[in-house]
Amino acid sequence: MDDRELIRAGYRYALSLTHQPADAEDLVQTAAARLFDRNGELGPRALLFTTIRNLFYDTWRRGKVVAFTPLEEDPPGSAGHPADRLDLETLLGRLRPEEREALYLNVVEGYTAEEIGRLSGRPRNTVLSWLSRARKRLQATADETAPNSAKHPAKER
Amino acid sequence: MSTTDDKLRQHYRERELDDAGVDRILAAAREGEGAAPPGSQGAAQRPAAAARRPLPKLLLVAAAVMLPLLAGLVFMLLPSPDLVGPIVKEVAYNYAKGSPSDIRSGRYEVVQAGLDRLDFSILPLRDRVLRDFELLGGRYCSIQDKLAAQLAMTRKDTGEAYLLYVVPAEGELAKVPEGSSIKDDLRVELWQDDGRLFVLAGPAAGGS
Repeated sequence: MDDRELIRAGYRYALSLTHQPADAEDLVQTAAARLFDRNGELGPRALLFTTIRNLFYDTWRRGKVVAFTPLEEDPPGSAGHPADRLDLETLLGRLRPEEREALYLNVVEGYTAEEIGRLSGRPRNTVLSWLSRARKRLQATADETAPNSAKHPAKER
Repeated sequence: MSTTDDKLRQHYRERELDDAGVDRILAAAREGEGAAPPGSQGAAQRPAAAARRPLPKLLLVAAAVMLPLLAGLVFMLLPSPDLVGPIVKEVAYNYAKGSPSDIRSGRYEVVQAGLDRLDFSILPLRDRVLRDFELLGGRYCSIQDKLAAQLAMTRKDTGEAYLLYVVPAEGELAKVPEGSSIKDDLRVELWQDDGRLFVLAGPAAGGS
């Protein structure tokens, strides 16, 4: 995987954490700069992801982020109309970062709960719990606002 | 395979970083010590790859003794690090990125109230800024790892977009000299006022 593909992969992962494109870009740039300086290269992918993750949670814990809109509230402009609430972007914004991250890694990147656990330093069961909660919250909100739509139970690895 | 999963994959596919974004990140990340981003340790503190090779024990002990002495000597002899270059690069990067304001208002007090984690005033004291520029909104950002405000503005006579950064002038930031710098097509002006560092970035041809 070349540097450009790594940056793209890192950005997608960072987006799953921050849920804000501009902040995801910041995060990837900071992680990439750190890796270039320390190792002279960007890869491997697992190291890039770990660096992005550590930077995100360090910053998040220090309260210097980003997550401008409280996670439990609707982002500006989307409050009110139920149709807006069907938007996946809005639904994802309501998840906690670790839930969104686990869901992204599982569904998009194909990581198993075990692998997510290794990346996050959490037990597999905790990861499964994040995944389950995330899927339930996404599905429940979608069903709530679209009562006639068919339900699709989420599959866990 | 659930519909939710499909939608999720599509959601992230549609939000791929474009080529310009990839170029921007790679260029900034490779720029080296000057581009030390918020949160990074700074080039002076980063170990070079070669320095991480195993060293003889005696050499390590000698280094442990000598390093603090050398560091003290360097600290005494050298002037404080020039932060203008790194700040200009950070600002240029953020300007190119064009992140939207989180609080959109033309009133400083509204933006200040929206950015409620800031414990300093964002109001510039320079008449020229208040007179010649119209505030559009603001968002949090960081300058040299310090929580800062990024204010979006337009120049009233030309309509050109500017960004004004405000950060407490504490520590090394208090030593940043006033002046202006050109980077690529961007003119960056720095000044201090009432314990705060202001950084105004706009088109180099704009003559701010």
